[in-house]
Amino acid sequence: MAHNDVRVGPNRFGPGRTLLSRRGFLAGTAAIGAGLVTAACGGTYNVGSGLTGSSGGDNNSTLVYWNLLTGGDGTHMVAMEDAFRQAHPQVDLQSTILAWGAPYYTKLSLAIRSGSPPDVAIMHLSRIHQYGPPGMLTPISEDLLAAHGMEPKDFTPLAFSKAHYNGQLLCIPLDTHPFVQYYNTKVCKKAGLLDSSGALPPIKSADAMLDALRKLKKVGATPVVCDTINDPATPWRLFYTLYSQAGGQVLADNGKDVVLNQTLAMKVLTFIHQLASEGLMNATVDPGGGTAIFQAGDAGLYWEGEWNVTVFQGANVPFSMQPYPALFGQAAAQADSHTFILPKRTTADPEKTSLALTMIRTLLGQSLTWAEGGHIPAWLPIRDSEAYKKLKPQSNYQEVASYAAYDPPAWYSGSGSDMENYLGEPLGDLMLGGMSPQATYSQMLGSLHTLSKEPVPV
Amino acid sequence: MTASSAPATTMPRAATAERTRARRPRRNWGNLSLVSPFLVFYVLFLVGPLVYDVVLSFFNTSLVKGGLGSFAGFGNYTELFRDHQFWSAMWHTILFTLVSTPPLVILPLFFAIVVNRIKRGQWFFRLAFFLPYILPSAAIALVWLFIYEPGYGLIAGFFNLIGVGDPGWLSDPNVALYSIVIVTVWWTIGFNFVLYLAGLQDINPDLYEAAGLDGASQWQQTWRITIPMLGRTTTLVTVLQVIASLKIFDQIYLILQGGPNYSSRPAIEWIYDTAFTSQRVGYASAASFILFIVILIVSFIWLALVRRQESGV
Repeated sequence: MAHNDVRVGPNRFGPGRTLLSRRGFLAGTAAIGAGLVTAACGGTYNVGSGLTGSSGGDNNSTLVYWNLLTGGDGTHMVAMEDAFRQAHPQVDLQSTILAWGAPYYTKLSLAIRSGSPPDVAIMHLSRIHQYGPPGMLTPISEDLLAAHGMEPKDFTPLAFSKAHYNGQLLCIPLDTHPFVQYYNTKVCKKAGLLDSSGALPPIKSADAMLDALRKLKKVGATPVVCDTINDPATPWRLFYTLYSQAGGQVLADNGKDVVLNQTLAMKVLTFIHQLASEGLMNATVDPGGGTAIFQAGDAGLYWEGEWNVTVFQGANVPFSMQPYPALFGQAAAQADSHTFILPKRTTADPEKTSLALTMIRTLLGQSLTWAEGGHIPAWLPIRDSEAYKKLKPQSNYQEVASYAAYDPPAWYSGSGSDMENYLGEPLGDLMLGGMSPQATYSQMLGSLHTLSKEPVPV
Repeated sequence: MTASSAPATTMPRAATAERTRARRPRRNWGNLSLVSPFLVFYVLFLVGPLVYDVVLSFFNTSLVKGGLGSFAGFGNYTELFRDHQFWSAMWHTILFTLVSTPPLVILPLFFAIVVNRIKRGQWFFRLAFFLPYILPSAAIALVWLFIYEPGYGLIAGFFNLIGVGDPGWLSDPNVALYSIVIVTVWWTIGFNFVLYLAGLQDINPDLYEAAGLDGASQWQQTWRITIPMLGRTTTLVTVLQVIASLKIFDQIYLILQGGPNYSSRPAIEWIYDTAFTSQRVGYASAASFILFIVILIVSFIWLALVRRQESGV
């Protein structure tokens, strides 16, 4: 800096007392540099293999596992991993948790591309259309599955069939996690919405929903909370739930065609707009704020994925959960599945694959722990067990797994994808009462056309 | 990116030094060997990637496919010039720079002058102003999300109390970017403040004494001596600030993700989204090259101004 130069002369240490000779310094630097290069070539995950595309020489008893599970999910996953570690003490399971969404998938792409992927990783089912086409996932044959104690009939049929791309199984579903309706039993009772058993009877139309929300407003509660800030995915989940109930499709031909239906979309958008304009929905919250309002007992309903169940159980708020009500015709709810994938390696390693499948099978066996976090287990031996049926309110909405609406397949769709962001942003503005339904529709359509026409990078 | 780092080349003294050296004909190879470790890193991590970026911008490179991909010619650039999402992101970056630079130049000057007059316990004020600057952007984002949160936020209650209602800090597309300007001013004011304070302490006290003897008031001393003598510091602060503001990303990404409805998404976030979420690395490289050119032009303009100012002194 021009004005605060360090005013220390070269002779600060006296003429004979230089701390380090120039030659010594250069030699030291060279040594450090050489050390770095050696270290880089020696490690399992290293710069060297990233540049050359070769995979590092791993020890066969280590298993590297990547996931994006934090919060309650993270805790449950760690418990499940520990169960595996206990059963297989000879295996060194190295689990890495990375930030959810685009950052996770970026790292995963780059790791696979550079030839040093994890041995097994979590991926949202909706994302296999991005990773399947460029061959970044190892297909899993039914024989291999059977050899590790898994059969197609053990899985939720819908999730299992969606786990295929081009007839090949690319991932093994762990769960189905739909968009659901949480309701505060105390507040809803006050508004006279509950039946004699203390449950909220299914709301069967958009008008019935408006009536229910108006009643909640009358008793001084925030009728429904649904977050928009810093979270474009949630507005998308709400829209796609309602739009799928109306029977609408968004994309066709693996994302090359846009088939957004104006009549159906406008019906849904007008309904959402009415929620905002009548003051029936508080959407000016980020995910943390949304849970805070419901947790404080101020809200009647809360619309979000089922994964917040442990948060509310921990807060002792009187609540229950149910499938998102069918307001526009058929039963449907936006959903996705956490799945296990085997990233493609430059050279196949059957032993490692076998180890990974053993781990997957062990973790599937722990599905009850996983279900506590709200997710519907894809592993039917657990889902059909008495223990799961007794798990309340988690098992209230298990039927949704059979009619879950997954994001339309495309290279740009899926959890945390561009499509969710591009559509979720205008939808969020609509939910905040900013945009009109017509303008929202136009922006959504424009974005879909842009995305569908982009050169396909996969 | 903190909002106040900048390449050393924009500093006025470095420029002067370069000119003196250029006049000397004989090269000193010993010096060159001394800077060579730095040069290696410079080429490896700055020049190399820059060249790579330019190359990529002419290809349809994908993040998930090996190799450069198909040759695009100027296709990425022509697509970019028609892409209104990109230009609106560029506008947000420029708007942010225009709005954030004046307060980040004027406020620290004011505070530095005031604090410089405090004789007892000055360290406390220096620390107080500089403290936010050492926090990482992630911590800043968490703190300000809590402050801005509607309903439960720290200041929402205050606004409701005085009866004007919450201005929709994070939810109103017309307000969100300004919320980030406030965050940035609070966060990075300390850096410019310290530069000014150093500049103030460089001013010869004799000047004030002489002015005082001549009967100049405090106000006149500030206006006629302090401000002009700080001219070079002000230029430096402005240059650093403009460049730092053009690189805005962290706070907006962490607090708003560019929302609501992309009303605050800056150019760098657009580049990040395109390269790492859309996986279109080639296209994003073209965009980052354009942003680089813009920042370069701005830096050159400022450098020219600085040189003119220096030759005028």
